[in-house]
Amino acid sequence: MGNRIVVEPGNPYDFTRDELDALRREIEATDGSLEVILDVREERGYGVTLHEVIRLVWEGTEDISTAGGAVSAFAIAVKLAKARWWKAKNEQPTQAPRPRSVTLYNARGNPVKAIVVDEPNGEAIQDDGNTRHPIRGLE
Amino acid sequence: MPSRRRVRGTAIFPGSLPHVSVPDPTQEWYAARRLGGEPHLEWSFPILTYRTNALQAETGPFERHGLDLAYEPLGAWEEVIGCFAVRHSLKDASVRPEWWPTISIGFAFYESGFYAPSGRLPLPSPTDSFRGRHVMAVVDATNDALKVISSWSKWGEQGTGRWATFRFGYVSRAYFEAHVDSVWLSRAAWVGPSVEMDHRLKELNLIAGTPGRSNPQRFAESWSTANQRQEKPLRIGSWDLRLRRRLAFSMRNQAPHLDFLDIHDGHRPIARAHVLHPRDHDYSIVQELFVPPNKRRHGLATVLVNHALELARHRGRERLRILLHEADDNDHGHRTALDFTKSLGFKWCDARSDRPNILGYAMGKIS
Repeated sequence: MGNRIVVEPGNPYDFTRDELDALRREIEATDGSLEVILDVREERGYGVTLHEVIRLVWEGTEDISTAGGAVSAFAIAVKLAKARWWKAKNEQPTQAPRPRSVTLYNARGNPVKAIVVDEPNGEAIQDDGNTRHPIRGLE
Repeated sequence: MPSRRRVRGTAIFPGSLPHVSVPDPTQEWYAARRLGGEPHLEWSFPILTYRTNALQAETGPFERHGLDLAYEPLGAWEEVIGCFAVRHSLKDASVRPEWWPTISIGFAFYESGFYAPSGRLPLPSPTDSFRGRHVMAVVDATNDALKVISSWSKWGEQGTGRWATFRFGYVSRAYFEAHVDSVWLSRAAWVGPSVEMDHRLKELNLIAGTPGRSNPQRFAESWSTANQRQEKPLRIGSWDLRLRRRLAFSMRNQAPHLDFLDIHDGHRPIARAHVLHPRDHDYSIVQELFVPPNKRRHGLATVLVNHALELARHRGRERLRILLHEADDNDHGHRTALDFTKSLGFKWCDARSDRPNILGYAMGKIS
């Protein structure tokens, strides 16, 4: 089994399929051996968040801390989050854009790295709040 | 079950609940999804959070667990406004906030809502993008709008005074009518509208020299009248259980009788049903019927439905309706509900609706 990374939008209504496909292709382009899976769950009920969230779950054989695929996938997702924040900012300069969050999880669903893109300057800063809980509360 | 540690920022009445532990909302939401059999999903339903609390043993007069928790769906705007008129009376009379009814609303959320000035949700334009559904607790109401408390740290209007650490939004009546699909009221069940409270109110009116005429102050005073639960032994096979009941009045229009039932195994509740007896119908309605997955296939739901049939018959009803909530319409829930109600001889009807957001119901005749 090779390296694999799962890309999950936190809210299935925040991204179009085309946008997610573009993200998948860009991650794949950095490492031809990396398998990128889009996991867009059909949610039921209530759960919209103010943050626009991208989750990456590393299911590779390499250690996540040293795996180049995980590092580059995270960097690409962060770049996308920043681009979307700035697009919103430029379209509506008088309004604060939605914060964007990107979190990288290991295969057990534990967060290892998280950033948030937000005011005042749309830079990605470490988000300690998002590294407290395993994905969807699953232990 | 959710952890019950104290969590700053989750109390609906900040500064007024010094002795009440409130569940961590994140953990409570996780627990709701697990109870709903969908831990792999991100979102959930308010009714599932109520169920997680309904399945916990009672822990005291200021906590809403087990049969001390009442919850019911509301439908109309006027019912929500009426509930807040009650709350204002209770507040004016210094009734403990823990005993006030609380309301949450679930609604469709659009892109424009993220940028709502001061949290006043605008009506979406035809091109607005749907972003899913959201739940908020309502903390106040006027004739024009509901004031909701935001769980998002950077959205809405900043509170003032003792509310300074909270943020709020507003849902207009137009938004409510068009986009709110779910309204849940919850309250402490052992106080509040009941036959006992009604007797006490009549007594207070008599003492005041105005028999048959109440006022908000006497209404609030009678609110704290204890509504005791009843219970009787129940045996299923070799399993010794107790069937418990608390009769109350619904806070819906016309205040129909509402029976809260549960089955208790000596440690904690293990099954739950609510039976509403609308005043102008020939049928009663099982608004809630729930047995957690690990307690199914023991006949608990059948016991509860049989008891609901008895209660409905006692009130002269000819039929019983059992609702299927949207929350229960997961992969296996719909089929389970259909099979179960068919086994009772009930007839199924697909009837999707909002407030309450149900997908259908089963109707059976009372012999």
